[in-house]
Amino acid sequence: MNKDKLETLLNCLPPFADTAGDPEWETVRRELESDEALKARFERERALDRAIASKLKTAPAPADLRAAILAGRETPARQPFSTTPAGLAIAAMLALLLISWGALTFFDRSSGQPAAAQASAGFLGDLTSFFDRTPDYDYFSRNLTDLRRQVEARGGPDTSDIPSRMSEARGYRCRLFDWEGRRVALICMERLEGNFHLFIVEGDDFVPLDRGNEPRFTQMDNWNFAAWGSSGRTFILGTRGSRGDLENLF
Amino acid sequence: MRSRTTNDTIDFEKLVDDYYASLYRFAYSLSGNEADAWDLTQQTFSRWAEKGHTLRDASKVKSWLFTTLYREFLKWNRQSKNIFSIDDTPAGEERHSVPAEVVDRTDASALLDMLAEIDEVYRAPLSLFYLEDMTYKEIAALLEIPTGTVMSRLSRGKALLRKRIFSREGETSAGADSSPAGQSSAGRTEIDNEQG
Repeated sequence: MNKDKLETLLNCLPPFADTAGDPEWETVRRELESDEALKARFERERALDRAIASKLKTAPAPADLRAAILAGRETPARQPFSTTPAGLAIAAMLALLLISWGALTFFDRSSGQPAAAQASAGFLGDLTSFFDRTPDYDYFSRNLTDLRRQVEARGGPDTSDIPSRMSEARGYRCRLFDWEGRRVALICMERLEGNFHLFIVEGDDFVPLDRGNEPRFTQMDNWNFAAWGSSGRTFILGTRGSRGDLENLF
Repeated sequence: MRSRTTNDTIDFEKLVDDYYASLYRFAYSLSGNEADAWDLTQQTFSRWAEKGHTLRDASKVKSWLFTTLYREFLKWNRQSKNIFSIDDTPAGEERHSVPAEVVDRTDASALLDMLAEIDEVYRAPLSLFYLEDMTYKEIAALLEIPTGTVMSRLSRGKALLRKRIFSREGETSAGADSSPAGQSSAGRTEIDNEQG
């Protein structure tokens, strides 16, 4: 074994590795015994590696992280609706939206109109199928501008006319998906008040939801929603925060 | 009938107890901040809850968790490479050593911060080396890079980390004793040599 290779291997020896019985290290050990200078340097380096490793392993993890992880696993792993905690939150939000839309369609807008009812039912069914899948996200960034750029670069809806105050929020992640031939974007944002989930659908005839050019607010259990239309697109913003939190974004 | 899988035998709470702290430290060393490290650790266990049952070999749980966390990290940072800067320490200046006592005087969190400041390409193998005692072959398998690459990155990464430890020690010494005598300590001399 040449000296360069020997030094490289020594440099890669894990700080507390037990190499007894490992043929590769037996060879290294033998070579090392015949080079006093290299042996002395290796021992100094190893002492340093061990000091670094020992010290790093004492760096504390947040005290409440363990509880948060355990609390986040509310759904058994192999149930069909199983997904990440964040995914569950988004799925729950969209499920509540779904119920809200269904109620609006059936009872407020189109009661007695079978076609509208069927459309809502179909929408409901499609959306439920989507929820059954894990919502893996396409892109993660703390920069909302990055997320918007990614959405548009991947053929998603134009995001240029989201309210300016919303643009000040911190980004989190986004996902694009196809829905009956349309591109739909889900952009998640963070503010001090909590998380906000913006659902953008290309077209104003797609979602059977009561909306206008100005946001219309709906509350459902712990969720508050705002829905509005702009430039032929439908926007739905949801949060577990208050209606006031939503209004602050417009 | 479904075959017996890893999730049948591994208790989730025990898994969390065994690995959450080390995964968090790895995540912190990669991301460099508490919020992202927290999210990455949580996300890793969420992935386990979803997909861990597909793992057939219980001895590979640790590797699975660390691989998953690393992949999540890459996903977060995809196309964000501009936030990382390549440390351009000349390769010829990598022979300096640091007394172990210097490390003993360093705060653990500060040391983890120093690790997190190193360029990502060196940081990931170095973290696994120091935090998990992984061999270069294990690191290569986990990061899915050639063993030769791991070896060179470990060598370079260790040099970069030592440089940071040295620099911090030098700053501390200078703060504690700003006299010319204080700055001419052995440690300070080596820092100056290191920085060329």
